[in-house]
Amino acid sequence: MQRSHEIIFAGFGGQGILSMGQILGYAAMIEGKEVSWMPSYGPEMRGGTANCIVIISPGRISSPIITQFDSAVALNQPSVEKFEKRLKSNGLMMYEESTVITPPTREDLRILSIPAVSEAIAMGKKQVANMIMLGAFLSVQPLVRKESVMDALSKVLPERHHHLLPLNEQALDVGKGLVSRIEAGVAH
Amino acid sequence: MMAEGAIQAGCAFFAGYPITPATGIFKAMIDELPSRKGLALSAPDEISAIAYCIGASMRGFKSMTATSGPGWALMTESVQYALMTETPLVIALVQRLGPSTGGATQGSQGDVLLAEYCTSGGYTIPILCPTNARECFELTILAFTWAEILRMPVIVLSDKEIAMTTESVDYESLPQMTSQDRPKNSAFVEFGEYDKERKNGTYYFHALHEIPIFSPVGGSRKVTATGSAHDKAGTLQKNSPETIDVLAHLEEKLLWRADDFVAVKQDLDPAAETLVISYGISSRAAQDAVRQSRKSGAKVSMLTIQSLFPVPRKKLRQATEGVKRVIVVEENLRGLYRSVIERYLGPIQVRGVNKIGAMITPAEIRSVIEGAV
Repeated sequence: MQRSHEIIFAGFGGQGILSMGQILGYAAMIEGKEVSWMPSYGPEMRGGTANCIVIISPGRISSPIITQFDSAVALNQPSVEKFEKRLKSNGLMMYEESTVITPPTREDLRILSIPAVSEAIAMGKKQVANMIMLGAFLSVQPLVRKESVMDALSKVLPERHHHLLPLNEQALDVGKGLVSRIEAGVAH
Repeated sequence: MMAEGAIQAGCAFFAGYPITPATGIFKAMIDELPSRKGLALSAPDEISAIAYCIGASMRGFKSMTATSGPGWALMTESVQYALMTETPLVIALVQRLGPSTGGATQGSQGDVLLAEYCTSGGYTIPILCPTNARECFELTILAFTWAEILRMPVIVLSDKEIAMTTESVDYESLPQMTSQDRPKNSAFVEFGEYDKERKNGTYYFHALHEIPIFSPVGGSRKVTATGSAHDKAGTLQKNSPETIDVLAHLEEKLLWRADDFVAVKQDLDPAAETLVISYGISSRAAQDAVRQSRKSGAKVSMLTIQSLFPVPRKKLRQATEGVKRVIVVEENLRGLYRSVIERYLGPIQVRGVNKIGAMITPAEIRSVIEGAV
């Protein structure tokens, strides 16, 4: 890893936005990188705005707030509108298909629409939509290995939820598969 | 990391009342302290929380509480009691957007003056201000040292972004520091005769700056603790010369040691025309801005102040040598700390970069450094 990578995960409270960022952060830390995970959310637990900025860096991180991002992962319309503007040129804008009506338009970005919610429903557990998004994100930006993500998950998830680890792993794979299919031009 | 620092400093008692964004410290202490030779209590409210801590400290235990702006408002009466009774205490004040209940999940650096000027009489309350997770650990230990040495309350002033951001910290590389303890009476346990000259009394000092030797309440020696004006024996007296001495001593004991208290981070360029001063979370964006501005040729120095109070005047003087203008970066409406240090900066042009409701970005600071605004 040559330089730091700065990502914003954004959406509504309850979608697992903060968890996505936290799991990615822990995974990077397990791999010995410097990380910063800064959450920002409204006063309500569910339904309010939620986002987190994750910085992964080979060296010490100075400011946890940054002006422009390398990547954005958006799970609702306001997040696309808000953070599309703040991406670096050639940055990645990844959004969840069913929650975004008006897609981003910048031509200097790599834009990917991921049908994470419908895939999660197909898996029988719509709560794993965030992990599908994370899997998709990591297949485009391989910042950490999948094994590290699974290590991070087993540390972050309370033990009573550990029976869900295989499902989460499956969700990561589904996300990765979606990206391959989209890139191969296969309609989903 | 504050909780970890506190425990390493030998904190044996914590009482708190949960409040965003200080709840993380509360929870960590409740989870960790009991298994590490301490007692952590969930108090029914903030007033009880700080009062419990003062009581534990008077008995001889290093104590800490943690709160945010609204809780701090309730604690300000008791913190003066701790000052008046020369009781060591560490308060972690994690700032959020005010006034009143304000924005619980929105960061801010708006409590700088509310924390400092919380006493009737305007006594200097030491304030240490960390900029990242690691410094939360280090400065909390330092806060215990100062609280113990000075026998007074010390504030660690954090904010939502520092308290709730998760950062990687290499535990192995953390300094194995511990905090010093208050000077204790050698007759701590033994029953000692009550000295008629009161020289063994828990408030007795000879020169104004001396720290009295501590005796615990409930121990063998009689200790009178009162928030009312008192003489060196702790007896209520309004304005006897000795009482006035005690009141002067409460300030003098700190000011006499003020130079030792200084904690700053300097990144100075001898040829600098501009000096950026900041603290807490904003200083990190400022450091980024300074680094980028230097790349584009700006002559700029950076001073990060960790010990906000007493104001590190000598360091300010050194850092401003040869400088034409000073920029003070802080996340509040009108530049609270700027209003304090301006008087020490002489004829140098001073301006602020201020904002509320969101963090100040490196780009915003840079545009001021490079004169675009």
